[in-house]
Amino acid sequence: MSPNLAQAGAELIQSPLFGIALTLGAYQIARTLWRRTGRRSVTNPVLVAIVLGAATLLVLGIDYANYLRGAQYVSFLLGPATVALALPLHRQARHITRAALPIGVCLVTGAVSAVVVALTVTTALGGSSSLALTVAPKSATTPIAIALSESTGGLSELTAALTVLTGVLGAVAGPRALTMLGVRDQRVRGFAIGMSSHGIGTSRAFQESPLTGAFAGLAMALNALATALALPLLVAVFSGVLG
Amino acid sequence: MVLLLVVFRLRRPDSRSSVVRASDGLLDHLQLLFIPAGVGVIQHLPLISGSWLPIVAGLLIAWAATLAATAGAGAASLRLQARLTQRGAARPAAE
Repeated sequence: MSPNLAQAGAELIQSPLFGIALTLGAYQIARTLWRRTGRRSVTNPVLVAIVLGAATLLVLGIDYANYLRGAQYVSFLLGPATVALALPLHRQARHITRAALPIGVCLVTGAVSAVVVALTVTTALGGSSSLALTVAPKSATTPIAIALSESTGGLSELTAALTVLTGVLGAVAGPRALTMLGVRDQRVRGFAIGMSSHGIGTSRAFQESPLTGAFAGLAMALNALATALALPLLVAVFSGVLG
Repeated sequence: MVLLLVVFRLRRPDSRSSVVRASDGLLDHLQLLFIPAGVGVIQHLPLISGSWLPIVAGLLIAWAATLAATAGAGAASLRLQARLTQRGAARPAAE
């Protein structure tokens, strides 16, 4: 009996079902916990689900590759989801066109700050130049951040992880930080979260209101473009100033 | 995304359209889609623990700075915009 169970277990883990089931299960548990704790920021479903999933893999000694075999079908949907962001943009189009100037100003300010501060702090605390380049693109959406990191000489795999951590940080602490700063305008809140915490922050922003979410999605999309354009230039200036 | 936005603006589908329902469905569960990437962080824990101070500080401080700078720029430019439109409304034929 026992060897057959172990064999069945090993086969199950190899199958895509495992990754999908773990992801959906973790998400469901996380959402329930979130609701039961009164929808607190700290029990953010993304964070809790990630911790549950990661803990399961680590404790059971399961390779990430086995998990990814199934989970890739879930993360595949990020492509269509990014396209679907057009819907909130469409619904809030009036607000967006009226705020075109502030949006432009925020975009430049945010994109430049993100890169410059990341480079500066990382270097000042003793990080190597490749580490600084790894941290620099982290507020852009993950695929862009990875590409930028690779092209400037950072460790793109680490960038992927840091980008996710930044997103989770924004989802958990962003709204409260903005409230503490006295920022109440939903458009500004949304845009700030989208600029600093890309997609994961955007998913949190939608919980505040459709307007906040729309502006967050807009910021995420625009920041991807802005960072892609600005980062190489900023990196060149930065290394010129240092060397 | 931009293409779909153009389509939405041109065709203005109502809430029963399948594209709208699909989009709403995806966006409602946006959080779910980030979980696999998040779990992937475990692959890089060794790299992070090596030089954790510059990484953690760089991440935290840059995130906070981006959030604050963007919010500040937003609030300031909205006030500027409001003032410009007020002046524009007050002197319609000044030029």
